[in-house]
Amino acid sequence: MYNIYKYCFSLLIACCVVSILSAQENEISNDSIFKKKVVFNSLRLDLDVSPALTTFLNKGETYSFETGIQAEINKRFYPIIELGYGGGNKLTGSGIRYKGDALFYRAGMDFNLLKSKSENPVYNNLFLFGVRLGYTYFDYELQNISFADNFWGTNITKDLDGTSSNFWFEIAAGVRVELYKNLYIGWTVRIKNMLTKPDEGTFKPWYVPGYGIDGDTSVWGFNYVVGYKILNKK
Amino acid sequence: MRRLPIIFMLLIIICSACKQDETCRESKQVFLHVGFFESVSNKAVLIDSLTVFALDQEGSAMDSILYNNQKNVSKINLPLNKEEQACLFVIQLNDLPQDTLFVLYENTDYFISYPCGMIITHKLDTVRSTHHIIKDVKMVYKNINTTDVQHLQVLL
Repeated sequence: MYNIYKYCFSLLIACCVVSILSAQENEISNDSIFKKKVVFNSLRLDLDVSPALTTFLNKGETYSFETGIQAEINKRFYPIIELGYGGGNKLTGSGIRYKGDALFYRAGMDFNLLKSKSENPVYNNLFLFGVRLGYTYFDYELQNISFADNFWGTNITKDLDGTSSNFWFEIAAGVRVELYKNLYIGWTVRIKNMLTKPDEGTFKPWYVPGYGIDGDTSVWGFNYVVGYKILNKK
Repeated sequence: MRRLPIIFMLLIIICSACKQDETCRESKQVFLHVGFFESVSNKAVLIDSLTVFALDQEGSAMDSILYNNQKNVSKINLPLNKEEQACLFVIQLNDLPQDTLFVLYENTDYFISYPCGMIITHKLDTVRSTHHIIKDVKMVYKNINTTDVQHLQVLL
């Protein structure tokens, strides 16, 4: 897993370097390094429509709905803020019922790796690669925790409540295709890695909204989005 | 590009079909591990015949015997009561007089994982015994969890 992250990081850094060098070339060709300013191009609103299918496939054990807003700067940089609501309600293998839901937040930056041949193309398609930092804070319940002991003939059952604060890091890649004027569809695939870990032996949430099922390894996430450019300064 | 939604939907279905592994592969057994040693040389002792049973809170013998005339034993595993903070065990070596082992401890909830659930671990506080055959009891390791380490040395 470390190697995958190393590879993705290297790729991300390579993209940034190529992006910056390419920008510098343009500036030099214009005979002035100071000519290029930060230009706000557009603002796109994305809605994740994949939960319609995934919630059904997961039998309602987990659910996650999210939306994002992404700006376009210098037609190269795409800062993004994502907001969503997710949760889990599951009878786990040990008989513990887990319940927890919350809002989650992500912020990050994408880079467009697709270079358009025309200065003002008819359709703006994007191949995005970037990073996110996610956060959620929520309360959750663990019900029916059983401590059975055949020798002593005891069976203790407990219900516990917990509060969880989580930060995670994501590497994301995605495509946005302009179907019609300002209307986009596309997908994002992301690998997530939890930055905050609870102490050994303390209970933790089974499902972290925005992150996924919190196991020992990284988590993959997929979104299928429909987007609309709400501001467009060509 | 037209096939993009179909490819993506297939990807979602495949990934959603990947079920989480819900099999518990970790030990949930929490025992007090006791070894028998010779008091002078401090060497492990092999006992010809050993009987061990627990006493309940009223001081009556529990129905199930932990070790019933077990042959050639040098160490035993004793379950501590998760609802209480003290346990009494009666130990009889060969046909010699019985000794009683008194164990005082604290209980702590310990989360393993969702497939395995939670266990109760213990921290030894005090250990005492009668001295018919047992000369002394040495506390070696206080934390009792799923780790296979010796907690007590019974010196004979």
